[in-house]
Amino acid sequence: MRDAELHDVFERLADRVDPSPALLDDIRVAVGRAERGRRIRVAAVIVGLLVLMTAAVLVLAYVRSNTSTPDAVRRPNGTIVHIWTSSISNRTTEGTTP
Amino acid sequence: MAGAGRLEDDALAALYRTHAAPLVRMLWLFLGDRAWAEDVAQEAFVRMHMSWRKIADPDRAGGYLRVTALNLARTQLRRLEVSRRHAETPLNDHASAEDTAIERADDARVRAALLQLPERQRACLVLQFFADLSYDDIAATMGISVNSVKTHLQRGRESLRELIGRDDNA
Repeated sequence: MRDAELHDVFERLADRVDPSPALLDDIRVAVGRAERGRRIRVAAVIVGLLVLMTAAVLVLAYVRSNTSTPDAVRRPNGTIVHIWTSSISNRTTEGTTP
Repeated sequence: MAGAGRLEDDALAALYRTHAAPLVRMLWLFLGDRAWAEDVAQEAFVRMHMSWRKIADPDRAGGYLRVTALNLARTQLRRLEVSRRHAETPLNDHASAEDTAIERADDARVRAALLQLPERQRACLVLQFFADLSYDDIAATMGISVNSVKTHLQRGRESLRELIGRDDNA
């Protein structure tokens, strides 16, 4: 069978097949479903980000409200040391200024 | 409008009128089953709709649909082949009695032989003889090199002729 004959056979075979009349409606339904799914996913991401940001702001506010302002202490050698004390963990952090 | 942004319903309908029939026909030749071909075509249209912001050009829709549909069909065919290997049920037994009853004998032989070929050879033959694509376009559609396309086409033609000849002698 030559290439030209193969070409004719393929065309003849395919010409017998037409999409069913309901296919366009099926596509519309499937597209609507996919759109809804995308909107739900986007909304879920936005809500998730908002929850994360709110949580981060609350944690920061809590930490700030429970952290003392630094106490400045002058050491005998003349350097000034700032000491922060966390009331959450009671840990102190020292910072030295020249 | 079918410009940038969303693909509206009338634009989708216009693209459907232009591309649905050739797409379903190509998929039917490749898969051998009308309902399966329509399912894959439907999924390709949905993906085109969801990716319209990237496509944004009705002239590119045909190519996008063809590539997407063929990739979907090949993936599904591969999955089916794997499950068939486990279940040991025959593959490509899709041609319905109604379909074959109205086929000419030659056409039926070609169709039966085509469905026995490996999926890459089959895809290359369908893209060349039905979709009339060049080697370059077939390579781009299938994501393989032009040399691979030539090899698959050569082997596909030989296998097809051998299978048809075997049927003739039987």
